[in-house]
Order: sequence, then structure tokens, then C-alpha cells
Amino acid sequence: MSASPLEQFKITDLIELKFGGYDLSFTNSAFFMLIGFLITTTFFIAALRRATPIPGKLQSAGEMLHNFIFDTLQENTAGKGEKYMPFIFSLFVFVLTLNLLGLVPYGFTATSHLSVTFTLAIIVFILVTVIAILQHKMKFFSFFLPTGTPLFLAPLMIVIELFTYLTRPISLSVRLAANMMAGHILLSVIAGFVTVLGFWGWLPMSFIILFDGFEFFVAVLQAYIFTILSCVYLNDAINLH
Amino acid sequence: MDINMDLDILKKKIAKYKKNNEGRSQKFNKETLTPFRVCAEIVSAIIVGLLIGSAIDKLVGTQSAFKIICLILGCIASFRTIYKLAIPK
Repeated sequence: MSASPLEQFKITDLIELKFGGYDLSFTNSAFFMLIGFLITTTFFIAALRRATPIPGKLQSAGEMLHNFIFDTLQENTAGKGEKYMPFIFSLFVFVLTLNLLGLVPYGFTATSHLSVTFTLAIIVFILVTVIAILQHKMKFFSFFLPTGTPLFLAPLMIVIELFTYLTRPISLSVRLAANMMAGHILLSVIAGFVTVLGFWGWLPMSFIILFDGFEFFVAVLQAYIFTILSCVYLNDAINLH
Repeated sequence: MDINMDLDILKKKIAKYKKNNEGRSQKFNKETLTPFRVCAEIVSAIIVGLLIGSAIDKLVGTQSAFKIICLILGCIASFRTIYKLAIPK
């Protein structure tokens, strides 16, 4: 067992690589992201390799996941988000796989690191902003002035709305990273009690089993929240309100 | 003929299922997701305020005047986000 509950989040270099003063080492985080990518790609290739009108179990699972995200996207973008489906679906599946990989013994939760979640969030933020500017041109900036604002309050409201807008990537990334990190730390701390309490160790042990189920729920829920909020931001960009 | 009848029954069942499930996801989103959102929104708006304030302070050369101003604006922004979440348009 690790000495510190935070040791499970330690980034270690698997293949050291330095280029032009930059550290480009292949880390355990990158390794688990690669595994996540391979698992999802293999799953969907296997599920849709022999697609039939009456789907088998694997094809059903793949299609259900796709339809679920498609419905969520369409519901949140008033039916106008179809062309962004590949991005939103990839985002959901990637985050979900990384979250679930963290629950596997000896696994590593890449989404517990702000660097990973912030990168994903900033991609969403930049994409959404670019879509909004391309679709609405200068009208996009009216987004920062809520309708019905008195003229004397306008400068203050613009600054506040700008702050609210800039909050998006940080809230997206902090939420996911903090939720994934908190659960794993709690599990690790309680696991420490199992050995310390001797015979009564079964008490924290049973709690760990229960909490593991809850962690599974959190992993799925957080991936869903990340996706649904991306859809909400996309809706703001497409429909501008 | 039988297949068509079966298909009609299936269509009716699907329509009934869809009708029963209407608004369920929105209810789930509002009840389950909002608490998760609120926590992160409070923290991140304040972080944004601090970061922007620090950057302006560094740029202008002031000690911490803009940090304080932007921190207050960040707090207001976080309250505004929570207000928007609580009372949707």
C-alpha cells in the first residue's frame, strides 16, 4: 500500500524524452490515456465491424451509447448540434474511459490531473468561441450584455459577464479533476484503516466496497456532466442567448 | 399482416415510452447536476478573478489593487452564475 494517499496521483516517466529543453517524456498518465484510446477504438471497431439491422449485444451497447449522447446533444442544442456529434461523443467516451480506468486496481486516473482536464476543457472553450464568432460575427459580443440591462450598469455587467465566460474552462476542469481526486483519496485513506484496525478492519473494508460502487457512479456522472456542459456551451454558441 | 400489426403495437409502445420519459432527463439534470455545477462555479470564478487581477497588477506595476478589484468581480460573477442556475430564463 502506498504511504501517502496522494502517491497514487504521482506522475512517473516511463520513457524519458527531452527535446529542445522541453520534457516530452512518455508518462504513466499518457500511457493510461493511450490505453483508454485503444480500448474505446477496439470496442467500437468490434461493435460495428459486422453491423446488422438486428444488432447483437456488442452492437447494441455501442449504438445505445451513441444514441444516448446524440439525444443529449440534440436536446441541449435545440436539434442543431448534429454536426458536432463526433467531437462530443469522442469527448464523452474518452473521459468516461479514463475515469473508469482509475477504478481498476493499479490503474491511474489521468482525469484527476488538472493538466489533462484543463486541456480538454480549453479545447471545448476555444471550439465553442470560434463556432460562436464564425456563426454570429460581431453579434457574438452581445452575449456579454444581458438584454434589459440599464445603460449605466452596462460597463459593469460586461466585465462580470466576461468573467463568467472565462470561468467556463476552469469550472469544467476543476469539477472533473476534483471529483475524481477526492473519491480516490478517500478510498486510499479508508484503506489505511483496514490494516490498522486489525479484526475490526472488516468495517472500513465493507465501506470501501460500498464506496467503490459509488465511485463507479461518480465516474460515469462526471463524464456525463463534462459532456452535457460542453453541449450547453455549444448551445450558447449556436443559438446565442 | 401480422408483422404490420406487431409493428403498430411496437410503435405505440415506443410513443408511450417516449411520452412517459419526456422531461425526465431535464429533471435529472436540474436535480442531480446543479449541485455539482454550483460548487465548481463558485471556486472557478474566484480563481479567474485572482488570475486576471494578478496579470493586470504585473502589467501595470501595482502591488495588489487590481487583484482585489478582480477578486470582488470574480465573486460577483460566481453569484451571477449561481443565480442563473437557480432561476433559468
